[in-house]
Amino acid sequence: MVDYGGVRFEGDDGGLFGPAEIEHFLRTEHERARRYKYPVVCSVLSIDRLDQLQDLYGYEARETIVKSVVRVVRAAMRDSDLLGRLAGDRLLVLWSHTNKETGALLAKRLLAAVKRQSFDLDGRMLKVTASVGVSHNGAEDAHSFDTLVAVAEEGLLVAQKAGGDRHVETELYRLHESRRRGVEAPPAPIPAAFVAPSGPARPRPSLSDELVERDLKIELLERRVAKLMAMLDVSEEELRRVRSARQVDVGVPSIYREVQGLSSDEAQHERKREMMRTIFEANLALRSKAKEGGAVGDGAGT
Amino acid sequence: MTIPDAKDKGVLYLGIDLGTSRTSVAASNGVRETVASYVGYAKDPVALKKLGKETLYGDEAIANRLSLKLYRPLAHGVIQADSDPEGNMRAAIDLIKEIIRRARPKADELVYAVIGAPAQASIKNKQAILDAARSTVNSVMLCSEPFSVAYGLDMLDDVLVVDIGAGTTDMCRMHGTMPEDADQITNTFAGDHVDSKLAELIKANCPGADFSKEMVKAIKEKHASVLDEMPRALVKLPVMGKPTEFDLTEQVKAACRSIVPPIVDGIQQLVASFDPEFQERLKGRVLLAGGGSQIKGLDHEVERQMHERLGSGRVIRIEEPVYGGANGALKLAHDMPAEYWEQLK
Repeated sequence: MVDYGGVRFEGDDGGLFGPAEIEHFLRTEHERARRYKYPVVCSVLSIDRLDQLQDLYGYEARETIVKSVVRVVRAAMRDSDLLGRLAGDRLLVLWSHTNKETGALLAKRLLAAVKRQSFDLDGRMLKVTASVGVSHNGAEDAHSFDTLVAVAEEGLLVAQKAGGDRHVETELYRLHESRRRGVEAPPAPIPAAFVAPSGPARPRPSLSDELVERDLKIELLERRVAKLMAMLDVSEEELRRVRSARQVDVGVPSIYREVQGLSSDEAQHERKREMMRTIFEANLALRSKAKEGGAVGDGAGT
Repeated sequence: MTIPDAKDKGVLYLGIDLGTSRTSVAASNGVRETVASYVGYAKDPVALKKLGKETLYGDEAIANRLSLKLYRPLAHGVIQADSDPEGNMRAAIDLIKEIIRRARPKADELVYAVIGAPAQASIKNKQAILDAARSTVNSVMLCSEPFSVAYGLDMLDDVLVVDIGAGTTDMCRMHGTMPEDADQITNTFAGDHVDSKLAELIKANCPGADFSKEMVKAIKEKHASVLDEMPRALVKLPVMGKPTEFDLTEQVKAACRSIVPPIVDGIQQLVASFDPEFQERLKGRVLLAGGGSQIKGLDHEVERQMHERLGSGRVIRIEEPVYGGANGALKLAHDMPAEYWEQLK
């Protein structure tokens, strides 16, 4: 970590910068990078399904996992890089002098390193995955640090929605820059195949145009189906993993699965049968009274 | 044994002794479990973080009570309704769920349970216990606790069962048929009474000693005896923060002996109102059951006082005081015809 002249910016979070501190450094670093024209990459990392893991294993397990992932991230960082903890246990890293390609490589390395970790929780070995959203200041519209963070967070969201264990850069710098400035984003360029002349005398598209349009729609749908199938696979795998991690107790079979009831060979069989009937009737009466609204009076046998 | 229909396959029978102090289950899959009847809920997020779970049961709940809202949902053998009835009901439901979970039913099994209730619990209390159980089991019945003890030991004729729990002592005479109200007596001279008596005596005899209910209960469980020559009960209690040793031998003995006269009163009442021809036989077959029967020398002391007041008497302590009620309830659950269970679903 960089020595900031003895000023301690560390909180109680194991030496991580808090949201306000990391924002301060990010702004400064981004401004410096702009002035001296060097590349920086911003990554937002989140551990997949952390809340569900907390539900299963408790809050302490969550902290153990987060701290371990922090160690992994730190091992991948240089002294000049900055790491902070955002709300919801998301980790924000600012990689100095790092371009887009190296940023993607670093994200892949982080994901692989997180996957290699294993945790012993209540005697059960557990592995986790993470998702990373990435942004860089080399993009045309990456004018501010707010835009960098927004694009990285958007990438994280997309990575999580796609099942996690991946990194995503959305390239939506222009949209977020426009939002930041409070203006409408310019419309995205429309594919030529969708462009048609306006006005009442619009000629009917040719058969070849219609075919191209249909092919595009089919391709789009196929991509959606492939994406959904991939998400389904990830979800099923996750379900299998969670089930095995929980080691669901299948129970103990009753030894009376095959035989039950009062044997007619037993001594006092008749007398016991009569007692069973009395107990049953008393319970039946109790239930009837409950349904009627609870007239009081005790029944024999119970 | 009879071969059941296919519908009877996959049934787990449970006998549950829902006690003020301990709740025990005996199951037809061979599992036997007991848990102290305490349920605790994490007080706040800090407690939740420390404990790692929201609800704790039994000894674990007692050990972490400072971080918990602690419930002992049963009083005198029935669900408490005096203070925080909703909280006690929720705790009772959770306790029943927990004891059933500990019986480890298979996912595809029907669960049929017989629960022992104090002999003279009111209809309202019985319905509260049934309401708590119904959310967890497929079919449930109640039976009188002392009856289930006698049924489990197959002693149905001319036996007087004395079931000493924490909240109540239930006495029931068996004469070959189902016991009626007149055959059963319940009083509150039981484990909790010994605790409060012992607390009184410690307060009076150990000036400055600081102690809690749980500490008194632990002292009782370790040293309980009514024997004249009992081992010395040397106990360390804090006085102004300093552990100080006290000899509580006489206090423990006196507290434990305090429940004997009311028990013998009950026995006398049940014997005196029995058929005179069979009174001698009844006096010769008194069964001591329940956690309270573990007080050393209690059987001999009850017998001695029976001789003094009734001329004769023979008291037998059952082998498994903690599981006696649950074992009997399990036997009842198993012997109950399948059609009865079906009708009560």
